[in-house]
Amino acid sequence: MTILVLSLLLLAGSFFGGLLGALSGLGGGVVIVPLLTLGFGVDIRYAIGAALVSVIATSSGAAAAYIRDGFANLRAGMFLEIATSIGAVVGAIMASWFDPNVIGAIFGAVLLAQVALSLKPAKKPGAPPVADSGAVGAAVGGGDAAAAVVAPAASDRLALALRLPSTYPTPQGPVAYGLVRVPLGLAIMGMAGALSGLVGIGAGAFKVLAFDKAMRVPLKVSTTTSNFMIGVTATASAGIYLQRGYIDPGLALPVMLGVLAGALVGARLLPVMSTRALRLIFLVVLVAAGGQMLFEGLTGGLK
Amino acid sequence: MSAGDRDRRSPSAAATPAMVAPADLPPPPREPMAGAIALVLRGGVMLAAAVGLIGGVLFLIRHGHEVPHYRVFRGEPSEYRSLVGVLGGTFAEQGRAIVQLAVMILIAVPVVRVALALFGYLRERDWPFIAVTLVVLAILVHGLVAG
Repeated sequence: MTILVLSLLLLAGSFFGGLLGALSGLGGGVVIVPLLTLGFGVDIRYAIGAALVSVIATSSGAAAAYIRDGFANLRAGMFLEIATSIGAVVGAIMASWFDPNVIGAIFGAVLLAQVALSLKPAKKPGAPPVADSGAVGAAVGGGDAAAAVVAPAASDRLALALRLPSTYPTPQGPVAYGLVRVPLGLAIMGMAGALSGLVGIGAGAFKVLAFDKAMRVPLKVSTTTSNFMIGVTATASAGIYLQRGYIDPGLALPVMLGVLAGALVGARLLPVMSTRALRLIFLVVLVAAGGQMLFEGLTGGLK
Repeated sequence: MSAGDRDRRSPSAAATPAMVAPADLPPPPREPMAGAIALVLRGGVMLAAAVGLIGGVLFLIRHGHEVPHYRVFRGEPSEYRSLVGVLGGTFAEQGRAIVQLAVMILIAVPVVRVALALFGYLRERDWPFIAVTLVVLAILVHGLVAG
């Protein structure tokens, strides 16, 4: 196989990876690492480098729209990025301590955990599926009624001191919301950042967990702000990976372009085809990929 | 000047949050640099993709017929690990170096985003968030230069 053929195959595979990442709500990174390691036999360190680059591209590309629409809470995102970026630096440093097989096994376990998080049933049975967001978190959670929103005045002291409560647009006009348990949110964000730096994913599902479940932020704000934060988180570790020589231009470019195009198409398709059956098929694929990575890592199949 | 005065200066801030924010809380602060940040995010990704495509085509014209080596990890040569090395390559019109420059542009996008936010908070004299943004920026820059 020549470099030209490999580049075209990577481009096509990454396109489907980006599509799958957008439609499953888990982002492109979770698909790229198994695609490169299991599908193309690429060393997992190169695969993680390429995945991080694609994660920065999709997050940055999608975040512009979320800012314009007024969903993402930029202040909360910036404050919590302290935790995610410190976590990402720690994760990237830890990545150099472990054998590639250990990293692969951790990746598999993290991917399975992300799928489990995204399968959490909706708060109300029969609530309409969330068919809104772009690359991240579309399958996470469920119908989030306005009644579940925390009143701004009920926010914890840290959130009030930093003026994190904000408003988000709804069909009935802007709704004000507050944030509770911000220290717990910070802790979960730190762990999400460490996982992101360790295995080269956006860890969007964990960030949504921190926003939605810990800080009780409305789901749409959770998914968009987490996506907004992923770019900064991935950059904190990407610089370290770049200097270690883990980011290869010949791999990173086709992967980045493919994932970006796939995520764009996926975001367009999402409102049109939000069938649960389709999402279930994708989740089965992701479970298979995660299980395979875990197995290869545990049995030493990844050099 | 109080926080409320600053927020009401912006016309959009005066229109929306006042309707929903309870009377005992100041209106939620507007993001001063939101428009510029959205522009940098979208423009930066497009620029990286365009530069990458140019470099990728050059690279494939010269090396497309060769056999790749990604099965074995060797690490990138030192000129692909730093901006100085990549710029040297770019001027010599090496396709691979141009592609790596595109990757570096992409990595710079979130850094510029944080720097723009810092500029906005400085203008608003929002001291807690100037500190928050400086910490984030320091972590990012540390990752880029110290490794």
